[in-house]
Amino acid sequence: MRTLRLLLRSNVNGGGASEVVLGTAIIVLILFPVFSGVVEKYIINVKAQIIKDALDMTNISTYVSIDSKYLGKTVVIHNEPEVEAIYRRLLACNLNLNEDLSPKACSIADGKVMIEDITIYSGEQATTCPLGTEIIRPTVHSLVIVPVKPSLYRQIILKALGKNSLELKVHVDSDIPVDN
Amino acid sequence: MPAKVILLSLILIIMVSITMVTVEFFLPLSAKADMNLLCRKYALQMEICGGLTLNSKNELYEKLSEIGFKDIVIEGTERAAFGDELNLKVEVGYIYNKMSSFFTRSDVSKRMIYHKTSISRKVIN
Repeated sequence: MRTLRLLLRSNVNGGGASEVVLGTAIIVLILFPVFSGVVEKYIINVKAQIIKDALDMTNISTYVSIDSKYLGKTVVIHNEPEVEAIYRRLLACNLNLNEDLSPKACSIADGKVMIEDITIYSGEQATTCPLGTEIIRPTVHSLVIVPVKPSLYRQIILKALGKNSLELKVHVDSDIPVDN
Repeated sequence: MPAKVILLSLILIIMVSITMVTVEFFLPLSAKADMNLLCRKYALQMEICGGLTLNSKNELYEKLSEIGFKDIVIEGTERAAFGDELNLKVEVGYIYNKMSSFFTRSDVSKRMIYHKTSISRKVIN
């Protein structure tokens, strides 16, 4: 950088102009991307938090609405079709999706949402979820992939790579409240 | 020397503008986060109580007004038995002052919606 500056300064006739070019380059190539990166990161975090809240509510509601026969007999219910159907319906309501989990007009999702994993731990034995969270109470574990629309510079970068959206892998373990 | 002064002034103006735009960009996001947090609290309360009571509705209205929201519309399931669906839909208007160009500011209104569905945990005897 210093060498470049010295090189530019050595040109006596165009010294002022070269500094303007250098300053503009710094603003466009360094300052804007850094600001953009910070803002982008914040937006993604806010979106992830909104999705996590929706998943948490869906997890708890799924636990309450499944048939009690499951909760009485088994300790771990892993990807059961009946449970997945309930979860899918509630998730569609909470994330503003169609029945096939494709997004509606005002949804936070930018593409079809995928349910990777849904596991219900109905017992009180200590265990760990597939992603390593320690579970000591009745809990619903879910892992969902939500495509979200990027903004600013990342949108340009992703478009150049041939992608339209950023896939957020959201993992939520919701403890089931014991007492009302 | 004059080039340096012009350049530095330009950089300063751009930096200040970017900072202001960034800070103002976060204002509605922060307000929406506050709204979500508050509504979520009442949605969970609805699960336990089996619906949105009139008291809770008024309380939510007041708290949203205190944050600075206008034109608040709250719709919630009033009574649901165990296992029934509960809906909470809250619509608010958020008006804030924003920089619209380098030297002008104007009021901007944004409509924010919170809509969630859950299942009642209240056992009605």
